[in-house]
Amino acid sequence: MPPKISKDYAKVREQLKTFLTEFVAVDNETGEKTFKYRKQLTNIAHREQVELIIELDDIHDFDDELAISITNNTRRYVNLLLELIQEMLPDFKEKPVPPKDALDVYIEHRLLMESRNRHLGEQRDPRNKYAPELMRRFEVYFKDFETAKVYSVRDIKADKIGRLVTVRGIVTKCSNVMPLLVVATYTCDQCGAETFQPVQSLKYMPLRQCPSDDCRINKSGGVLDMQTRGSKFVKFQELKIQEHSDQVPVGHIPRTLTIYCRGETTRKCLPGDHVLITGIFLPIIKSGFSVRVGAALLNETYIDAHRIVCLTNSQTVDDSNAHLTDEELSLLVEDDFYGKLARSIAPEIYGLEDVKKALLLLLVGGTDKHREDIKIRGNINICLMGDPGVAKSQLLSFITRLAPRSQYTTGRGSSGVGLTASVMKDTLTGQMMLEGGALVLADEGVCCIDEFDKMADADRTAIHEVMEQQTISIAKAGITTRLNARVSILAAANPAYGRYNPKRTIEQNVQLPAALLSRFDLLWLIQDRADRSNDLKMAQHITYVHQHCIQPPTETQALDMNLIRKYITLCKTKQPVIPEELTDYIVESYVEMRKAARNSQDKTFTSARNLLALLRLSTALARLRLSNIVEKADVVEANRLIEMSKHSINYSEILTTNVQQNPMNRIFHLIRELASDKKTVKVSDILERCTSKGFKPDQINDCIEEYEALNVWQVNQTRTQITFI
Amino acid sequence: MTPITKIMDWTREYFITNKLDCNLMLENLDVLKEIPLLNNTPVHKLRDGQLVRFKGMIQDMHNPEYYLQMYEVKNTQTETYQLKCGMYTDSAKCLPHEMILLESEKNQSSERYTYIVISTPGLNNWAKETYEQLHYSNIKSMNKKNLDGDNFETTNLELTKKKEKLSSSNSSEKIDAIRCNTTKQSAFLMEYILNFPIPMDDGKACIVKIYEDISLKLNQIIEIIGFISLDPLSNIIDDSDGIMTKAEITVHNPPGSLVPRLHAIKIIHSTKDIKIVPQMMSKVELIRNDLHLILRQLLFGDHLAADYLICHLLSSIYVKRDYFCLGTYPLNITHFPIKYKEFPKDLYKFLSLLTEKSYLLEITLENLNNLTLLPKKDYECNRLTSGILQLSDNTHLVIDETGLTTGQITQAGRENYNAICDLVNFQKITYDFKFYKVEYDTDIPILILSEAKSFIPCQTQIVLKIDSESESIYPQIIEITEQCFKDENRLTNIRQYLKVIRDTKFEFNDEDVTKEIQNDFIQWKQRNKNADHLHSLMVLARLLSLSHECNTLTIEYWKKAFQMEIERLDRIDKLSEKKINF
Repeated sequence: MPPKISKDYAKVREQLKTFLTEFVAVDNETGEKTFKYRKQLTNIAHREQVELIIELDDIHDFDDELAISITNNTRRYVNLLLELIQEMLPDFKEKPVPPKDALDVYIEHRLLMESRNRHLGEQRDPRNKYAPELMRRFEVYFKDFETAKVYSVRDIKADKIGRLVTVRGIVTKCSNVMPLLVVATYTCDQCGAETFQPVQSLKYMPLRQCPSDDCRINKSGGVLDMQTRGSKFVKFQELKIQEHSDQVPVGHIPRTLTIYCRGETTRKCLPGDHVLITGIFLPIIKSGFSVRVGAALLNETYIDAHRIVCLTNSQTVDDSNAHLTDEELSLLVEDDFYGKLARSIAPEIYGLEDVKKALLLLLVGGTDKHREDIKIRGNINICLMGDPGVAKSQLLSFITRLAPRSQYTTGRGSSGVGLTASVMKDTLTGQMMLEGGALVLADEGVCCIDEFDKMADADRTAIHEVMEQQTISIAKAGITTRLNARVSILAAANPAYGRYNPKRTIEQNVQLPAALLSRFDLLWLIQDRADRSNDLKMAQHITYVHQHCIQPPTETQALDMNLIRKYITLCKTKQPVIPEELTDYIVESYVEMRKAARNSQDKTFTSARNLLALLRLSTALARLRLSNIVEKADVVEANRLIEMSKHSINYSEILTTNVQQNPMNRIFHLIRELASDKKTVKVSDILERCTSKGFKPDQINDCIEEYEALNVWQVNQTRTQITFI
Repeated sequence: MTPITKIMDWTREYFITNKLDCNLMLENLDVLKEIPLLNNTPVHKLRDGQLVRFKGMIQDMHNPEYYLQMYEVKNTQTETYQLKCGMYTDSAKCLPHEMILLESEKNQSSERYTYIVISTPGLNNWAKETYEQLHYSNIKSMNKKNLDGDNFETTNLELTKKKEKLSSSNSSEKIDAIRCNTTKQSAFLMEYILNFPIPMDDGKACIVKIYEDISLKLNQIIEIIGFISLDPLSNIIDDSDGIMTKAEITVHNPPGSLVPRLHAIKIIHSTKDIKIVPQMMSKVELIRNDLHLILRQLLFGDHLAADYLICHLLSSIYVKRDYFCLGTYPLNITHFPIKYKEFPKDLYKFLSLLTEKSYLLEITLENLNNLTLLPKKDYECNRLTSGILQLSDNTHLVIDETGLTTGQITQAGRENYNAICDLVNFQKITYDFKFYKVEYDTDIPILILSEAKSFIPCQTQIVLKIDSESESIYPQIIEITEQCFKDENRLTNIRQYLKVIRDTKFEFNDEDVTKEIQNDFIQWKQRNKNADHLHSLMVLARLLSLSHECNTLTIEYWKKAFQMEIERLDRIDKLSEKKINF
């Protein structure tokens, strides 16, 4: 076997040599061809570059088998390449390179000496030869395949030893960067010969006896002294990474992994960073002699880092496996996926479908518009109001968990400073620093604020700017700046007097100024209403759950949270535009809305902001369809949502404590309400409205007859319409 | 080798060579009872390498270890080579004249999993006693057998004997030295190393090495059968590579006398050993009446509250998905007479006699601000530092809120409060891993005792309706109840009742009942009650039926549960009316 392997490696060496010299990268845009690695080698020869990153994808294009064998036995190939490149480098040198540091000068002197020695015709002892590591001034790293699987710490097991692997995790510990000895240089106190000792592991046993001919033959017993100047050190850092929370199986403790970084891979990350690390998984070589051999029974393992990529917060969900599989896509393309997605939001909360749809749009967001100085936000803000115990907080906490980037705070718990940004004084240097609050931290995400109404007035003003301009201006302690806060705000507010009082306006009910309320695109009032058909549905739902311990099968299975997240990220890549022909329709619907607001006693605010909201919602809907063009159906749906949100407030029911009120009277009031200022009402409308309030059809008929007899109204012959007299 | 029938005399070598036979023997639960239980045996009574049992909760999990499963040994005297097995031991053992060949091709590395297992937190004394009785007899007989066994061994297993003697003679001094050290060290340090969520006087911690990849979850109760390793040198770790910090080394390698190592050969999930006791099932109604009477007396003659309390004691989760869980029934008992300050403690004392695991958490302002309720990852010494709420499933947590005073709450206090709220409402506990948080599912029944409605949101509040007669004779009632519980028979019955009923399967698929429930609900809803209440009402009906040993829901029990709920809500309404009238 061994001869065969060595032969193989000789061939591989040739292969790699051709690869390095002949590999051509083609620029996709310009079509220009460049010798990707030749260029880099020239740089290295001129000492302008230290690390050479070889992409496995490139090797794969060149020879796929070679790439595979590199991943399986990486360490071997790294050494091979190091030797090979060192040999090749002189060919790439185009100009003399001035010595850069002490070690260069040191080696230069030695080389000079050597050439003099050779002149005398002496043979140099091979053991005293310069170690190749000493002269090496570059590092070789591999970059894993683009499509390589990203493992979690848990997946790295014994079968991965020696292989190039990519792991994802969070850095929990970083040691200081320390010098690590690579080649130790010694001089003999007797003969003055220099000896070099390459060190592979973290520990080494210093040489004591001079191995040169002089000392050995004469038995003079020369003692070696280490020369710090002549030894080579590399930067060394030890990291610990830990599994990210989404990689930990339920009920387990996250595992950790040790990473060793050398040379150029050091100082790439800090504790708390989310990283992708490519490296070779290796056991620690236990060298030296220990008194109790038993301890050696255990092997430590580590990853020798080749590449460290810090993932920013938004990238964490967007790593290579974030692409939807066909299967998942087909699931989403099914009918009514909009409804299905909406229902998958907080599936444990029954009903509230329109609210969930609105929240889905909030997650997707509309498109931002920039033109020179004019900036129109695309983020959708929603405020949920309602009686205590209608699952507002549950919805908020679900959105916090679902959104890839989010902050959850309560109005009472956070002062304006804690919400926006604060100026801090560094205790050590006395320097002023800015520290972002929840809104800044949630930049390009969602900020959920519970108990919005309980916030102090002064704090609320800070939110005004965020909600429209999407920035936070700071002018404190000599620091004047503007921070980005491109957030969608999801607020929840409780009515001021325990329950929502429909007789008062919204401002009075939630004690928020109109200026702030109008900044919300949608205001929902969630009320706990006694509605017979709804109640029955809910009762059926709950009893089913208790009976069978699962969700009823008729309902669509809630989608997995990860899938929703992926889909939303996909949606966000779209930038839909509103086509010319739809403008008229949008304008018309807005005018209609204004008219309706004037005519009826509207408790909400219908202003130009509603038009913007309409546009944002329609673009968000188009995004949700993964389309680049807004269609009429989107505008219709957006209109409907706005309509429904207004309806939830305008038609909020008076919660009568007197349950025994005559149903006849109540039906009559409902009909009056329905008719408002019109003279005629359709019976079918009456039936629909009254049944939804829990009345039975015969009660309604009785009522119609009773009032007909009283000559309050007339009913036409087919009994389909009533006319007030 | 002749088979060793006495399970206590098994050695590591014997087990490795006769794995199949031994595993067969381990299937027999009665045989296992013979193995000494580490939970209540002082470590110095055990010898290194002995087979022991340990029952406890998984407190932490470490990274898997790579160890040499097979290693080659060279005998320097005879120049012969031999393969040895590295399983079930801390370190590769060899005789003085042997040498381990680290570079041998025949060496095999393998993975084993390390868990930190501690004595079950909150385990009540009566639940421990049962083993202890069993166990004392065990020790006595075992000691005798040990003596006999030793003679027997000398002929049979000369080699192992010698080695053991060798190690024991030279290490005994060291053990003593280490023990001295530990006694000198403050009790604080011991507490720090043992890392218990709640103080336990006779608690033990163990480092358990498991050789199979079985799925074990944090806070699970398991019973381990394995070889104990008391090698005093195992905590002297040669760490010249500097991978671990000093704190990490002390925490991960505590002295063997304090935290013994266990090499598991069998793991028993404790959930499996549910035994249906037939004679108990026949008199469920009697036991229930008995329990009801006792609880009623304790709760100042309140029938309703006693019913609720029984239901609460029987509750356990049966459906759980994300934040939605069914079966948990947290209860908030309020408005007990203020003059009996000791009421919460008295009640807890009796509950702890009935439930297997329980803990009384007194919430005062200082406690709320200062206690660590949530477990937190300590990266300095790389372990999970425990918090009070790290409890195993079905540990009854009684929260006494009567000591709470007004004052400033700190950030930590706020977090503690949130933790309790999450636990009550979602049965989830968030562990702090510094860089992120991980949620762990729990199943902890919670009983809150407070003067008025608790500051912790709890769906079911029961206002006590105090019978003035019972109130006046409360001290006597306590005495009577104490006498009552002296009756072992009665206690065992109640304990079994609570345990068996809790795990009984429940079915309900009667269409008529479903219709009835739906109708009732609509009626109720029109009186403006919250939707969430239906869930808890359903759970109540379920628990009520179960408590009467009825494993399906009938109209009768549904109506009864419904009535109970109406009465409970009426009491709350009355209370608020009273307030308004004032």
